[in-house]
Amino acid sequence: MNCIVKDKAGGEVLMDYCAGALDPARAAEFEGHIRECAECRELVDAQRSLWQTLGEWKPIEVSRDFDARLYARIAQADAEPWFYRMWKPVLSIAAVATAAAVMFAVRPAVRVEPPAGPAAQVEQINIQEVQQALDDLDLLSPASPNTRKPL
Amino acid sequence: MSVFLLAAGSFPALAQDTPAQRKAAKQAKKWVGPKLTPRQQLELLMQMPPEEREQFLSQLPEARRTQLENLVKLPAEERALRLRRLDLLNSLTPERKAAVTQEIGNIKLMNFVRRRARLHSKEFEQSFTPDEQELIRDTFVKASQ
Repeated sequence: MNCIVKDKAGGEVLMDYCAGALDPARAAEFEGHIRECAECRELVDAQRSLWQTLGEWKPIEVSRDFDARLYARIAQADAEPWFYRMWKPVLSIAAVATAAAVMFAVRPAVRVEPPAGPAAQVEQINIQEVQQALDDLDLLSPASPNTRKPL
Repeated sequence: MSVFLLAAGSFPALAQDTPAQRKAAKQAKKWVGPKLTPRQQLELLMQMPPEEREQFLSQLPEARRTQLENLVKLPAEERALRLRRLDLLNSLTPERKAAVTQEIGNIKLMNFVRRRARLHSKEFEQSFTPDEQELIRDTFVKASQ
């Protein structure tokens, strides 16, 4: 038998085998193959595990009048005026737009600064630092013995 | 919703930036220039056209304006030397800068003989690093010789 991994119809064989729908001759042949082929054996195990899990899953029980209430709601929605039905998507869009606007409004403000260049550099001149620099320059200027107060 | 959007447009913080503002902000973000040193600030002032410099200097007292004008009038070589010394002074830590400026101030109050004695004293050498000593001695060239 061909390996189901390589065979185009392998998926079908696997499903039928796991469901017990494969004819006995082919099932025996497939069992012989999976005894030798680890890859196919893994696929069979995985498939069985999946089916077992699905078998254990219990659907949520719905109330007895679920269907009746569902159809009543659908009928009610169909009976609503056309403008009300049109407003529903508009309200949804408005809600999304409001959220976007709020996010935009509370975003960190982008500080607009002038680009680099002489104008920007002039703005970097600090009047106090300039005054301090002038004081320092005055202090560092060569001292003349004649202009100093003798102690 | 419309009310909200109208309100958003009424407040500057909520208003959308114009393309020009966005472009300026983008350019500003790209530019991460270092803070100008005091020397660079003075150089920038000196490079300004006279009328522009005058406009800036109008914020300063008359004495300061004279100081800057005197600096501008200095020969280029002398001016460069002074600005280099200013850089040296500003490269010191605030504590060392305070110590150096105080020392210069003290020595300026001395007469020539005392200045000379101070600048050649062991205490002076022990109190200041070679760079600091050079900075101080260059202020008192004759007394240092």
